[in-house]
Formats: sequence, structure tokens, C-alpha cells
Amino acid sequence: MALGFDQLNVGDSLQPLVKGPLEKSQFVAYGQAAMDANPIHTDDEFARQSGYESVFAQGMLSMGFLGQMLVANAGAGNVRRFKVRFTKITWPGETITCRGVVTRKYEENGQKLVDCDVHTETESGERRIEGSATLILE
Amino acid sequence: MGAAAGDPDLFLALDLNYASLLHAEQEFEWSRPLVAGEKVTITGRVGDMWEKQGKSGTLDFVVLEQIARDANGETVYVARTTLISRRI
Repeated sequence: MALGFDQLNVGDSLQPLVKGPLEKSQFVAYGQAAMDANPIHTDDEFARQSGYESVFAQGMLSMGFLGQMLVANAGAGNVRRFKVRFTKITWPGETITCRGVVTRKYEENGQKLVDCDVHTETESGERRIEGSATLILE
Repeated sequence: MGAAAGDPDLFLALDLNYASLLHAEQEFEWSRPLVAGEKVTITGRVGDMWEKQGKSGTLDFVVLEQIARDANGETVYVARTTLISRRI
């Protein structure tokens, strides 16, 4: 059920989405789907040789999780803009919550829009990726 | 960053240090939803480039921009990928 423009105000939270615990097999599947063959996400030995304790999630996988949260809130086809910064690494075993907060509500070219700050965080509240999005609402 | 990096030839021509390559930011702007079965033409370009002195040396920032246009030449989406590479 998509959110309504009239019911939403600046400062309101979007409906969060929880993903995980993340499994290494998800990184393999995502790498194949995205044609991202970087072994740092799929080969623990390679990751250790590169200075990491294990493989870790592709940034774009986390962006996909956030995108899934945005679509669940606004409905398919209603994400107008979406930007993220890959600030921290997301590790296997972590359970990730995708969150968004409305920062602006306005109308433009006949569309009812809300801007949101979005981020992913771990169970202990550590932020992983952060960004912003613009949603079209009815 | 795989497909997000867009044009492979353009990507290789940048001659970045792949071992230190970091996908720092990603942005998408959609003019309308993509419809199953339609054909879009994607063109890529280097949108911006700059360098910054970091503790471990020079960091190169590159923004790769891809524009997808439909059969009428109208923009469907614009994607921007920001990469950071530590110069060897």
C-alpha cells in the first residue's frame, strides 16, 4: 500500500525494510546478476589478501535494498531520483534495516513530490550507506 | 561496480588503479518508468574529474555519466557513478 501525499509530513519516517542476516551466497548471486565479477565480494581468500577480514556486500546490493524500501513505500515507478554514498562496508551476517525520513514536501510540474534522507543501519544502529531520494506520491 | 560503470572502453581508457578503485557514489534520475519490451540507447561520458591530495597520496575522482534515451530521443534516465582511485 503506497503512502499518500496528504498523510505524509516533513520529519515523518517511511515504513522501514529489514534485510538479512546477509549471506555470502547473496553476494555471489548479486555479482552474477549485476555482471560485477570483483572477487572481493565472493572469494574470502582474495578479500583477506586485499586487507579485509572477509568478503563484503557490493555497495549496489545495499542500494538495491534501499530501492526496495522506497518502492514499497511509494509504489513501482514512483522513484524520481535516488542517490547514495557508499560510506561504510556491509559485512556478511549483518541484519540491515533500510530507513527513510521526509525532508521536503512540494509540487512540481503537476507532480506531488517528497524528498527523503535514506540510509541503511545495522542492529546496533551503525550506519552503512547514506543518501537521498525523491518520491512521487498520489 | 560492474554494469554501473557503463561503457567498458571508456572505463578502461581512464587508466585508473583498479586495485584501489572504490565505487564512492551512485545516483539515478528517472524521467519516467522503463517499460518492458522497449529499446533504449545509452550513451556514456566522463561527467567530471578532479583530484585531491589524501594522506596516502593523490586520489583521482571520476564521475561517469550514462544517459538512456527512448526511440523518440527523450531521456528516460540519467545515471552517475562516482569512482575514487589512489594514484600509483
